[in-house]
Amino acid sequence: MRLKNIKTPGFGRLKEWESGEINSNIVVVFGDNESGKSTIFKLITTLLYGWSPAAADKNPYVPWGRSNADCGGILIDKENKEIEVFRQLRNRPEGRMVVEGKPKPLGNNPLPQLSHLSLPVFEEVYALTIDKLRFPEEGVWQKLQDQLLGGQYISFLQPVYKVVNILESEANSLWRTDKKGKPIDKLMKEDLKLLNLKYREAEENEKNMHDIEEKLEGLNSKLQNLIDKKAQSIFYVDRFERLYPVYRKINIIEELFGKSGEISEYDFIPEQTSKYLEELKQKKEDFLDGLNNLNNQKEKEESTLSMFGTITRVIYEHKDEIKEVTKSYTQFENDLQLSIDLEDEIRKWRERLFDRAKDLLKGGFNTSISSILKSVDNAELRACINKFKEYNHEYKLQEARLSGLRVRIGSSKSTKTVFFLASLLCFIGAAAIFFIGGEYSIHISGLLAFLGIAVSSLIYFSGLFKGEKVELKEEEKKLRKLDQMRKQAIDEIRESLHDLPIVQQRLESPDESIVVDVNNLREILLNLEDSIERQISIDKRIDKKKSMVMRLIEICGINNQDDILKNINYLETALSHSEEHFANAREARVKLEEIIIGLSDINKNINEIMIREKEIIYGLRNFEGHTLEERIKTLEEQRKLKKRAQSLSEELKHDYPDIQRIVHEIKTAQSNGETWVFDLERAAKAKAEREYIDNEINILSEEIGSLKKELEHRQNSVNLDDIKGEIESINNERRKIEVKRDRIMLMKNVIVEAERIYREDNQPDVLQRAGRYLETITNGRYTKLFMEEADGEGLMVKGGSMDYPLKVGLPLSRGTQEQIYLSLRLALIDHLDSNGENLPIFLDEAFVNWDGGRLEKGLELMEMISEKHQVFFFTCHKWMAEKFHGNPRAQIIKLI
Amino acid sequence: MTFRFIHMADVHLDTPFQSREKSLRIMLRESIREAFKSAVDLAISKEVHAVLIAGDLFDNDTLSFATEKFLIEQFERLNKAKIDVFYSPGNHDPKGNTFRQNKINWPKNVRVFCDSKPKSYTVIGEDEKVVGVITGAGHEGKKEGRNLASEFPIAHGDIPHIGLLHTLVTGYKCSEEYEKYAPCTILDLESKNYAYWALGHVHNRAEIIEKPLTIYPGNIMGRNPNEGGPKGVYYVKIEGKSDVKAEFYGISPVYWAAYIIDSIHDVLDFNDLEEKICTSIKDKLENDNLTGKVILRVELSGQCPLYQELHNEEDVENLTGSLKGLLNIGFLELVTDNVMRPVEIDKYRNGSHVLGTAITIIDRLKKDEELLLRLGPQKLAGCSSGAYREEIINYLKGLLDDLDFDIVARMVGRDEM
Repeated sequence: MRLKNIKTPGFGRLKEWESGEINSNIVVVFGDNESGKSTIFKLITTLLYGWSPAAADKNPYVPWGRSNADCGGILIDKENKEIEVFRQLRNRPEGRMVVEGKPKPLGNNPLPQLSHLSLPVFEEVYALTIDKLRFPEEGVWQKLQDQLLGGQYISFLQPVYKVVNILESEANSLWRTDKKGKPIDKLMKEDLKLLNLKYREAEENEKNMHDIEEKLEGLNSKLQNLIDKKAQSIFYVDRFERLYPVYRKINIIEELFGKSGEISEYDFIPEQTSKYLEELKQKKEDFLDGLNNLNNQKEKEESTLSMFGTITRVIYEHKDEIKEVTKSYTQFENDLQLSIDLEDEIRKWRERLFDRAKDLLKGGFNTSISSILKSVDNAELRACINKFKEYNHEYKLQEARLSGLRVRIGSSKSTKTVFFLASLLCFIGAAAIFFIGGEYSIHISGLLAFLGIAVSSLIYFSGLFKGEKVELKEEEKKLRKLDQMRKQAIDEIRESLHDLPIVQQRLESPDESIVVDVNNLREILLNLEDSIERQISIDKRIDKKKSMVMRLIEICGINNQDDILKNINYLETALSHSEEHFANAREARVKLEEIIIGLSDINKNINEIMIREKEIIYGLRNFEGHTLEERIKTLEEQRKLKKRAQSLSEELKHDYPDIQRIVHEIKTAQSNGETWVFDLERAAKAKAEREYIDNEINILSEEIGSLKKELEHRQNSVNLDDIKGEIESINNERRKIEVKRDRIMLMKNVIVEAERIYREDNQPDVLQRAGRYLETITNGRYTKLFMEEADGEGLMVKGGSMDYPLKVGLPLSRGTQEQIYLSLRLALIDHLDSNGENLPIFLDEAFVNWDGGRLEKGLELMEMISEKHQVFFFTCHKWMAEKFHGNPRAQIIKLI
Repeated sequence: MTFRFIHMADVHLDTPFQSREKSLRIMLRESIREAFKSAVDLAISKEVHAVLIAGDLFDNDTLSFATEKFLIEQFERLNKAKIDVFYSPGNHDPKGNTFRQNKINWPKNVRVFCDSKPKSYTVIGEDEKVVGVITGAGHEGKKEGRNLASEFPIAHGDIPHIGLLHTLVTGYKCSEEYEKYAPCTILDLESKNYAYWALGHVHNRAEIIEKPLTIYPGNIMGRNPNEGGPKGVYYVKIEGKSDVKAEFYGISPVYWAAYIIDSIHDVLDFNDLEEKICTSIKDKLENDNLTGKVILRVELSGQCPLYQELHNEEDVENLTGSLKGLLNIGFLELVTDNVMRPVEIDKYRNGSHVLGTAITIIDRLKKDEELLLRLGPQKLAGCSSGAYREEIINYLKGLLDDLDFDIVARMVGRDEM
């Protein structure tokens, strides 16, 4: 690879700078100090590797006052293709390359042709300043070793030294041969030590637990013996304590009963006999007093009883009737008054009846028309009257009309009278025939009638009434007919009155007043009858009551006062007295019965007392003593003894509910001859022994409890198998760790061995090449370079005439050392480039310390190398630049 | 007449459970007792005539005081129920003064076959008639090498005979995994005319001979992840002389389950990984029909993009906690030792670089013992200083497994993976 052109609008101190076309493989960049040589070198490395630093504010080659920098250039690769490269540093670094017109982004990455070579290695090997002509820096040398010798251009491999260091570190963190540090295995060993200690403790604990268990068994057996012994002792003492008090009391009781003798036979004699006898005497006197009192009371009550005599009894027996009478006193009083009032009322009604009947009825009122009066139908009567009134009215009208007609006619009055008389005669004759009878009379009457008829017919047939006469006749006929009808109506009225003897005048022209009057009269009549009826009813009641009172008065022997009310009052008073006497008598009778019973009781008691006195005195006769008092004393003493015995016996029963069983046990013991059961001394000894056993048991129990506690505590501590499990687990882990460590170490050894073999195979070539370059430069003075140790610190040089190699260092001149290191780098470049691009080489004043001969040889060598590599010489020395004047293969770029 | 008994073996009371987690150790300790108590409960509920224990009742000579008390208590329960106990010691609890079992004052219903010489006891049934004969023998040392079964007497008569022994029957498929203590052959057992052989020693349940029915009941509770699945005892009924019916009863309150999950190369993050593990474990638990309290050991294996995280103790702890919650499991051990970085080893093999050289060296180490000894650490942590050359070589060879993958993972930059 070579550079064809480089340019920049602004890069460090370079502004709008361009190299122009570089067509030579030897390029001399000549300029004074600070003219920009280093900037151009930096410009080239930027083109190749990108911006470093990559931040615009930190990169020193961003021109002053600007925030960005640019550079570009054209490179020719090994296949002679042009590669145009652009690099910009703005907010972030950018880059691109164009190959055969195809752009490809670069970012800030190196050109792909340099990817195998890191920038530090490039700067250390390809860019040589005078101060870099020394043994490569340690880091770079290591990289060279790893990359060049170990990986041979393979950048994907981790550096061997790094891998080895990591492996060693890992292995040492697991297990170490020395005692340094704290590898895991060591920590585990420490854990194991502790666990083994614990294990031994646990073993000891197990042993102790078994010992304790054995000890516990012994102690439990001892304890059991003591408990058995204690049980025996308790049994004895309990038996003693149970039997002895009973035994002792039974003895006392028997003795007391013996002394009291057969006192129970005199149990009929009461306690405190003297007092009792005294009390009997007193009671007897009291009873006698009571007897007197009762007799007095008896007399009194008998007197009271006698007051309830025959009359009083009769009155009392009729008390209900008397009470009924007295109860109805007020009503009776009212009835009497009401009777009087009704009398007055009847009189008034009667007067009114007669008075009213006077105007209506013929002959006034009499009782015979009462029923007729009541039977008159008002409606019918009224209808008949109305009918009459109607006919009468029509009659009056007809009469007026006839009267008018008659006036008109005037003169025919006599005819009419004749006619009238003839007719009347006819009528009388007919009536006589009808009413009188008798042959003679009939002849006369017939004659009269014939005469009347003949006259009338004559008048009529003679035409007297012709014209007005006819009309008049007609009207008269009507009038007569109306009159007839009027009369019939009156008859109907009469009929409706059921022949009530109404005054005639009233019937001649009947009107509504008849109805009113008949009605009034009937109403009065009814009221009268009602009053009479009521009076009769009350009077009957009064009579009945009077009769009853009179009967009672008579029965009760009371004087009749002729005043019924007074009689009733007397009856009431008599009944009151009778009831009072009856109550007193009844009370007296009850009291009397009680008194009689009381008298009987007292008599009986007095009798009993006397018997009791006799009985006691007779019983006391069998006790020692001259007097009654002395005998009583003897009795009481014996009784006291018996009571004491009985009391003790009760106490025993109360205190010992199972007394029967105890007594039986005592008797059995006695019959078995176990007298020791009731031995106080022996019992005391047994108690003392029990206390001793108790103490022993307590001590043993405490010891057992403590051992059990200890056992429990020990059981809760860690188990053997648990510790053993943990130990084995750690041992397993240790084994794993050991194997892992050994494996890592084996891996490390394999890697180291691989590196050694690879280095042996490859490193000599680098040194041989370097030796050849050095031989060229030194003109055969030094011919060989080799490494004393693998890490490269011991670079040795040997010449053809030298007996032994020299270590590159102070014994050699500075120029010689620089020549050795240049040779080494050129050899490294051969190796680094052997499989890819031949990169340009940059020499910055690298030859200024060289003497003339070696300088010439060196330049010759570089010219030779420029066959493959483009070589840049940076110099500020004019003499140096002049060395290339006239060299057709060299191109000089002069910086101003 | 029916002879009924419970057959159990390898109880291993006081097993030191290897865990750094105290709560787990305590739980397992209690569980093993609970299992034993359940066996006693079963015996009482089934009204058996006898309980047969075919050795290794205890795990070691130092039987703890508490366990001894517990054991006596349980045997007393059987005694109260009039059930005899026949106990034939094995290699973990043999005859000898150093072993605690020889010092225990057993309840009167317990018959211990202390000697290697077989001894027979009759078992009396409900109507005071003999229902069976138990013949047993015990180990006299920790490594009983004699064939004890061959000394058992041949059975005669109509009473069913039962052989009780802690032995390894050679010649059946699982026998290679166990120490050959008191070894015997199938022929030895078949030749005795017994109705049933109650054996112990093999921790995995196995019915090894049909006639006479010969059973290893396995231990009553798994003690480590390798002893997974249901564990328990056999309830055996013998009608007449040889009509034998044996029924397994799982009584272990805890099951071990160990699963390897090796397809984790495609997980992208922890959620992905959790889901994968959960799904896989649930399927496996369902397939194995493990529904009780499970102690789970999950080993992640193979290449995984989360290699770095899975070798970080804190990340693994967090993942374990999360999985416990998701799977609703109290005890879960997540092993990530075998998780590797995703590596295409062939890409680097024979490469012209140090890594290529290293892979070549590892290939050579597998064959070149001298080179292995030279490159092996001078002082080995996992091998005693007095170890023989052969031992060291074998040990070192064991370290070479997947070493090339590890070296690639170590040397290649993470970005290149």
